[in-house]
Amino acid sequence: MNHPQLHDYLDRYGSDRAQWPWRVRWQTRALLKGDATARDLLAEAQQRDATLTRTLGRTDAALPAELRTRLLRIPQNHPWPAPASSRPGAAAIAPWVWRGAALSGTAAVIGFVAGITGVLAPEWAVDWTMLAYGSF
Amino acid sequence: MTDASDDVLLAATARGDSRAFAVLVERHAARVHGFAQSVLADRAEAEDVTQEVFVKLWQHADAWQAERAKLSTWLFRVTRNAALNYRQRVRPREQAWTEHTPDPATEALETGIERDEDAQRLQAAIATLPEQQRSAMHLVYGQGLRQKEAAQAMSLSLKAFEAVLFRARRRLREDLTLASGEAREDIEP
Repeated sequence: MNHPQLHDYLDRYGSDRAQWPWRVRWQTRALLKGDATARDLLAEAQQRDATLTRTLGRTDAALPAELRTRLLRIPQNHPWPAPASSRPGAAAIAPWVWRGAALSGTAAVIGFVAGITGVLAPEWAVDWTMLAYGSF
Repeated sequence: MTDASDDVLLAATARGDSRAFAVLVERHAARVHGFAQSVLADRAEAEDVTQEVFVKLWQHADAWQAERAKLSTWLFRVTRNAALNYRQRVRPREQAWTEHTPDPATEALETGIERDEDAQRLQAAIATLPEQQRSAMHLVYGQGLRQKEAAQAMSLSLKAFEAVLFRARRRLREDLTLASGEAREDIEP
């Protein structure tokens, strides 16, 4: 038997059954217990994954000596701090400074508007105007 | 200092401490180089990209925000972007990376590394995968990253990454089945 559903699970979740969702593990339990082909498929996928880990994991086994030297020389060969790397302007200022400044600015605008309104239209002037128009 | 965490070393690097930077190089350079090589399939180009990544690390250490990501995840993301940019810059007319002929040094290295037949077949099949799928396989199987970290390293959502990995596994399985079928036909009279 071909077991397309099992193939799908293996492709989706890999061959490590511990990583499978419990629902899938439960669904496949009986199949893997009773069907030798299904067990072979799982074993094949496990072997493939093990080879993958072995093969791909070995590419970073050794750092070439010449490259290592080049990397260790970076601090001597590249300026620090780099002009482009320092975060200019807004980004370099801590958030609480910005919040404080914004709050002070808003308070100043409100105060200014309230002050102007008080000077141009004091309470007694409003009362007299309304009286003149017969609102009282 | 060699026992210090990446975050501590980065903070020291941000203050211009070249010894802290050297420890970071010793700790991460081989993995960065290995991953760059997997994206570019060229040892010399991978070395250039590795250098580019560590220059960035040296120059941008002051902007590092420890709570946002692990250093290794950030390094893989920068490495992949740098490798893709490098490929675009250096071999813009190349249609697929598989058309690029690896230099003799790479070939010698690969021949030295891969002795058994299964691994060779697998490596050949991986080489035909699209770059995104190949990188996903390298991050999960080669670097041992969890899917969430690998997704971050590739700037993908977890769902999107799972889909990429699913397609890669399925294609590898199909290719290997096909290859083993052909091999069997060659042997049988």
